[in-house]
Amino acid sequence: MTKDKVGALVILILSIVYGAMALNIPEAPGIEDSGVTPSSLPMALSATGIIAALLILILPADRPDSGEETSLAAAFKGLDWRCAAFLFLLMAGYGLILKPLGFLISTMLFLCGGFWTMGERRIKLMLSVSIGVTVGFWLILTQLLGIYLEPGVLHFLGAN
Amino acid sequence: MVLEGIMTGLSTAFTFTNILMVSLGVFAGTFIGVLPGLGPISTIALMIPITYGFEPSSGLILMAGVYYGAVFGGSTSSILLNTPGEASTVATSFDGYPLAQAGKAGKALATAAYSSFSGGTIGAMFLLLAAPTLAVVSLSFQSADYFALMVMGLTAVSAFAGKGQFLKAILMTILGVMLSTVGTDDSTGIQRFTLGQLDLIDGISFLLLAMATFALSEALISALKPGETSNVAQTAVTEKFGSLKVSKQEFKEIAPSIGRSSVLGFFIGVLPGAGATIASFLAYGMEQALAKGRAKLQFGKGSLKGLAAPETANNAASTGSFVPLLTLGIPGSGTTAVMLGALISYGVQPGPRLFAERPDVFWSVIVSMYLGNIVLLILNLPLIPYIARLLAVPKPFLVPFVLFFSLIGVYLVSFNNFDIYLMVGFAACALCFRLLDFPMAPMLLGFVLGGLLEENLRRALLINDGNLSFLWTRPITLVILIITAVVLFLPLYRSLVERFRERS
Repeated sequence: MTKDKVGALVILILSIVYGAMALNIPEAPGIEDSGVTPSSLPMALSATGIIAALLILILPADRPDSGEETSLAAAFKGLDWRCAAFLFLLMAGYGLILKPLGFLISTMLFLCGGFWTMGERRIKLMLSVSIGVTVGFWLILTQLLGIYLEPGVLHFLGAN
Repeated sequence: MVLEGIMTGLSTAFTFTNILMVSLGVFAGTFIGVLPGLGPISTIALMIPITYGFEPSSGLILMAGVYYGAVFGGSTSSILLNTPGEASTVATSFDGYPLAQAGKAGKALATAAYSSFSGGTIGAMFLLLAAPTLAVVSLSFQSADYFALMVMGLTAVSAFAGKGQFLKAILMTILGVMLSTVGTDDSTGIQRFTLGQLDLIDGISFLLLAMATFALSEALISALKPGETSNVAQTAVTEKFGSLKVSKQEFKEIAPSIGRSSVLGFFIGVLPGAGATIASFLAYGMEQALAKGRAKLQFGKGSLKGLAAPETANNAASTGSFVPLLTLGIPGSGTTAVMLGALISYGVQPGPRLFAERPDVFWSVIVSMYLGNIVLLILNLPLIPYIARLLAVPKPFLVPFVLFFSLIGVYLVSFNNFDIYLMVGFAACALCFRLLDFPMAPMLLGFVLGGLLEENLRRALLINDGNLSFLWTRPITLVILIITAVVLFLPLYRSLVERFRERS
C-alpha cells in the first residue's frame, strides 16, 4: 500500500467517525429558518472527506517523476523512532510536572532530558546550558514582562 | 487618497517603537529562519505569544519583519547547506549552493539579499496601488460573496499544490475545516465535538494548532532522521565566506531578471493559493528559457541570474500575498494564514472594513514592508556570516529548545496543562501525515477559514430567507463560484487523465 493510500484511509476513518458524531449534535430551536443547523457544515464536510478519500483509495496510485519510493515501508525506514517516542514522553511529562514542580525545575529537567535523548552525554555542558536558558528565560518573563509563573516546590525556598 | 494613506502609514511606521519593532522582527526572523527545518510559518507562530499585548499595528509590523527575515534566513540555509527550510527557497538552492561550494558564498548571499530587496520593494509599490483599489471594490461585497471567496480560497490552495498532491491537499483542507468546528457553535451556543471536555468548549486555539503542526513536528522530524547536517553545517559555516561584494557588471547582468521576476512574482503571489513557491520556480524557469548561449549553460552550476530570479520572485510573491489578506481577509498561503491568526488575536478582523476603519493598521503594514526590506539589507547582510554560525548549533541542543519554546509559548497564553497534551497529540498526528507526504499548510488554511465560511454562509442564508438562490442570482457570487469551479476541476480532470494514462 502506498503512502497516499494509507493517509487517505486514515482520513476516511476520521471522516466517518466525525460524520457519526455530527449526527448526534442536538438541533437548536428556532434556527431551522435559515436552513443551516449546527450539524449542516459537519455533515457536508464528512461527506466531502469520505468522497475525496475514496477517490485516492480507488484510483490507481500516482507514479512519481523522480523514481522516489512511495511505499509505506520506504517512508518509515531508517527513522529513529525510539528518540521521537522519548521526546513525546518528555513533552507529555513536562505538561504533567509543570504545575507541581514549578517552571524552573520542570524546564531544567525537560531540557536536560531532551539533550540526553538526542544523544548528548556531556553532563556539565547539559546542566550549564539548561540552567542558563531556564533562568534567563524565567528572569525575562517574571522580571521584565511581569508574567506570573508557577513557583511549584521552589515556593518553599522563597523563590517566585 | 493613496498619498494620504501613505502619509498615515509613514507617520505610524516611523515612530521609534515601530522602527524598533521592524528591526527586531527582521533580526529575530533571520535568526530563527536560518535554523535548519524552521520555515516562516514556524517562525511567525513562535513570535505570536510575544506580541499578544502589543498594539495591533506594532504587532503586525513586527510580524511583517519576522516574515521577511525568516524568508531571508531560509535562503541562507539553502545557499550554504543545500537544505531548504521550506519549499519557496528550493529554487534558490539550485544555483546558490553551487556558488557557495565554489567559495563564493558571500557573493551568493549578497545577491540573494539584493534580489530579495528589489523584489520586496517593487512588490510593495504594487501593493500600494493594488490594495486600496481592491479594498474599495470589495466594500460592495456581501456575505454571499464572502462565502464564495472562502470556497475559492480553500480550493485554490489545493489546485496549486502540485502534481499528485491535489486530492491530498483537499483532504487536508477538509481536516482543517473539521477541526475549526470543534467547540461551541457561535450562533446557537450548541457544543460540537467537545467530547465532554471543558477545555474544548472554546474550540482549539489557532496558535496551538500552528505550533503543534509546524514548529513541533518540524523539530520532531529532524529528531527522527539521525545524523544529518551537523557536520556539514560546521564545515560550511567555518569555511571562508568570500567577499560580500557584487560587481557593477554583475548587477547589470541580473537587473533585467530582477525586473521580470518581481512583476511575475507579485501577480502570482496575489492569486490565492499560488504563493512564493510557485513564483520562485516559474521565475527560475522563465530566466532559464530566456537565457542564451553560455549563460544558459551556467544554470544549475552557479548562475547569478538563476539565483536572483527565484529570490526576487519569492519576495515579490510574499508581498503580493498580502493583497488578498489585507483587502478581503482571505489568506492565500500558510504563512498569511498564520498572519491572519495573529491579527484576529489582536482583535483586528482583516477585510475591506480594515481599510476604512483602521487605516493606520492597513497603511502602516504596507509601509513597514518597505521598511523591513531596507532593514534586511543594511542590518542583516553585514551580519549574515555571524548569524549563519547558528547553523552549526548541534542538533541535540536545537531540537529540545524548539520543543520547549513551542510548548511554553502556547502554555503562557492559557496556563492550562491540557493545551500541552493537546499539542503533543496534534504533533503526533502531524508527524505521521508529514511522513506520508500529506501537506500541512492547507490544513491550517482550512482551520482559519472554516469558522468564517460557516458564519458567512449562515448570514447569507438568513438575508435570503433560507434560500440558496443567492449562489446564482448575485453576479459577484456567481463569477467567483465559476472561477472556483474552473480552478477545482481543471487539475482534478488533469490528474484523473494522467492516472488513467499511466495505468494503460
